[in-house]
Amino acid sequence: MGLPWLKTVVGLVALVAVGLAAYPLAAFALEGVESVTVESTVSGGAAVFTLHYNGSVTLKDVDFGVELLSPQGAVLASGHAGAARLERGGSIEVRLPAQALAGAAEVRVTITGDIAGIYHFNITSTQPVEASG
Amino acid sequence: MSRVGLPGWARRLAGSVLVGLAQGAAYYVVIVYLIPYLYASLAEGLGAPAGALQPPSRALVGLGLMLVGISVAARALRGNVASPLLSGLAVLLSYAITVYLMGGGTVRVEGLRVGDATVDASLDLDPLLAVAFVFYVIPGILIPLAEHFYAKAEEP
Repeated sequence: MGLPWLKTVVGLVALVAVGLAAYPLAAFALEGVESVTVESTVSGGAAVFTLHYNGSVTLKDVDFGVELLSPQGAVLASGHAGAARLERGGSIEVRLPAQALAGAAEVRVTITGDIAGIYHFNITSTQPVEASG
Repeated sequence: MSRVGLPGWARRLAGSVLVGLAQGAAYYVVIVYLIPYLYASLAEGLGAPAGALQPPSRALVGLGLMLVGISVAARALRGNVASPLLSGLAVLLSYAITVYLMGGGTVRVEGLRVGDATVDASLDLDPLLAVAFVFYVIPGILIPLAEHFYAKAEEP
C-alpha cells in the first residue's frame, strides 16, 4: 500500500494553488490589451494623455509614461504618473506642454504594472503624432 | 470450459504499461498542445495576431513521446528503485520543457504593428512557474520516492 492520502492532499493543494495563480493570467489573456486604452486631447495649453482601464483584474503599481519625440528621436517633453491600484473604469492622466506636441513627430507611451499584483507587464507603444490624436 | 489467459506477471505488466501510457499521454497532451496553446493565448492577450499557435514541431513531438516512454518504464519497473527516479525525471523534464516553451518565463511580443503604432510588450510568468515548481515538481519527485521506501518498509 502506498500513500494515496498524501497524493490526494498534495494534488488538491497543487490544483488550488495553480488555479489561484493562473486565474489573473487567464482573465488577462481573454480580455487582452484592449482593456487598456490611451487617448489624447489638447486643452488649455496642455496635451493631456489619459490611460483608461476597463479590465476585470486589478492592476497594481501602475506607471504611465509619455514621451514626445522629435523627428530625430530626441525627447522634447516627458511625464509620467502612477497609481497603486487601478480597477475597472479607472484612469491615469499625464499632462505635457502643448507646444512640445507641435514640434513632435512621435509619441511613445509606456505602461508598466503588475496584473493582480503578481505578474509584471510592460507595454511600449510608439506612434506618429498625427495618428495619436 | 477452461479459461485461457495471460500469466499473472504478464497481466500485471500489461496493466502497468497501460497506466504508464495513460500518464505519458497526459504529459504529451500538456507539453505538445496545452502549454503552446497557453503561451499563444497570452501572446494574443498582449496584442499578437490571432493564430500565432504553430503546429507542434518534430522536436516537441519527440520530447513528448520520450516522456511517454519514461512514464511507461517508470510504471513497468514499479517496486524497483529506478521507478521513482524515472518518475522524478519525467516531472523534471516536463517542467524544463514547459519553462523553455514559456520563453524562459517571459511572454514577449516585439515590433508588433497595430495601425500606425509599433508595440512592444512583455509579461513576466515567473510567479506561475514558481508555483508550478513548488506544487508540482517537488512533490512529483518526493512522493514517488516516499511511496517506494514506504512500500519497502512495509514488506515482511
